[in-house]
Amino acid sequence: MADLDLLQFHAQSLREYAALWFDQDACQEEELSEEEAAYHLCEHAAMLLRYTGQEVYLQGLAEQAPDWRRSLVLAVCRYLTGLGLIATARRLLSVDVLDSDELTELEDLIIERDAIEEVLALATRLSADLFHEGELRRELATSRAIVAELDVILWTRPDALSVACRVLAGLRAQLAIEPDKRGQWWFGKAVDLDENFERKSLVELLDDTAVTKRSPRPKDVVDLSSSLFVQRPSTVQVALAAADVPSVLPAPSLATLIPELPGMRAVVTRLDANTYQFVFVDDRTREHSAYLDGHRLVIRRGNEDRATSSITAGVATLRGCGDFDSCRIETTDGQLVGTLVLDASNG
Amino acid sequence: MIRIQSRSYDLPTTTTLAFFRDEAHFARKVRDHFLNPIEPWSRLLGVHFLRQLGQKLAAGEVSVLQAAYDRVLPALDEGIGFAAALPLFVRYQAESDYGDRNMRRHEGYFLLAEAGFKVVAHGGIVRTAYFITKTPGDSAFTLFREAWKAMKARALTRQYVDHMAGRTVLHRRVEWFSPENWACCPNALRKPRMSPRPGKPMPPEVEYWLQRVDDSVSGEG
Repeated sequence: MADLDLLQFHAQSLREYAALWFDQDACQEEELSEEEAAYHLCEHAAMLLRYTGQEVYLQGLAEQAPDWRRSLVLAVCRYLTGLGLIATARRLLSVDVLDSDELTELEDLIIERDAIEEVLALATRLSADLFHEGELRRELATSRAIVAELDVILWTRPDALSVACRVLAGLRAQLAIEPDKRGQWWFGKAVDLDENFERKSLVELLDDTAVTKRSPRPKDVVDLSSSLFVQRPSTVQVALAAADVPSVLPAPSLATLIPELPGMRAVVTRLDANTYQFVFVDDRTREHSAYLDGHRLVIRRGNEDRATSSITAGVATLRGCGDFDSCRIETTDGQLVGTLVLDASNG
Repeated sequence: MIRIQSRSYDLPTTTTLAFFRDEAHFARKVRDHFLNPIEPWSRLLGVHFLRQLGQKLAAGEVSVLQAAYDRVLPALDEGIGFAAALPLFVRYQAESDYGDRNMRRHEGYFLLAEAGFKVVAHGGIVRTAYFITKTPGDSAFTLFREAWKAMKARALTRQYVDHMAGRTVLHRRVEWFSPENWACCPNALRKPRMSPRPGKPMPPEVEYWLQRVDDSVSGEG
């Protein structure tokens, strides 16, 4: 049984934000945006679910009409486009050694990151039957991409992260639902790094991180489909963080660059084992870019085309593609516009 | 150089806190927090003032730091005063082990201001103050609740160890003032204002759902 005070706090907050969500005039009076009300309404419902494992805490949201759920989820996505935590993470992690006050701030940031994950999971669940709508899918993918960017920044410093994540030990103990240790890295991998560091000797750590321990990989094939979600830290970071396997970025989305198109990036989200969604984003505005609309996205393994999709409203979804090692953007008559290929030396 | 000032508060014994260590320390907090557009300090310090401060500091006019200090201090003083009076703060004792039997103890505080910012003080010095903001437009209502939630999360982690910069910090003896205010978020203070018009009713099925939620967490469900 989770801490009763914690449950009551979330229940009280749920009521407050529900009242505000249903009363836009009250929102205005409190200088609280509908996006803010939507986000926190979802946050507190999701928290109650995870601390109790009881679906009753979602019923009032899940049983609403599709239009209502769509508008709630879109408001959550709009809220996350203004996320300021990325800049905060950059600032905090720009120093070599965080002092205790900066570490406290980083801990607070991780607590917020934890909540965002629950909100996104709930938003996805609330809109599962609406995924055929391009707008909703696109907005959720963009939100995921923003959060993935935050994770990428945080994971540049596993040394700081592993310490900061300890603050969540108390919340971890309250969970009624086993966390996804890959997605919710603050409950899993980041903490494991620190524990490994404490347990093992330097010799063991160096041995664990030796290149020879990695499984061999054919030289001529680089699995982009799997590598997109794998980033290996530098040797120094590995030694510091004591990772015994290459550091796996936990986010299901990753921003990738297109060398031929500076200022543009593609955010790749693995929707399921064989489905990938590519959202093209303008680097400067971080908005969807329709610049490549009408072009084709082709994924390949070796010289063989695996799947093709046209880019519409800045999005391409590729289904049933299996493993692949490169992506290219082509004009409709097959002229190469840009590539999205992982450098083999990173493998 | 700015003139560092101190104030005394009942935390719960009379405790004197200096506001920042020195000018360089304060200047860093100005850059990281008070001028940070993500944090809504402009609601307390004024948009115009902060804009001018930013422009002058960018032009190298460090003398403006005294004016900034004079502006920031009352806001922080009011925030700490609120936390001390309610009370709504945490006192902790930590031990820092530098190895070679070199152990230092210090007492610190986390305080929650009515405006929703958090103050961190230890060693008799206010070290930092910041808003836990996800987006720049977050309301005061949300800021307060989110800060309370973040501090409450620490209550569930009774004791933990930090390893940093070659030392080990063991957080011991964490005291919550008051236990009631950390058991239940003091909502009355930050509750949305009562509107002169009646609030828009929620749909009956939502009201029914929320009632079930309330019953469930009160053990009556």
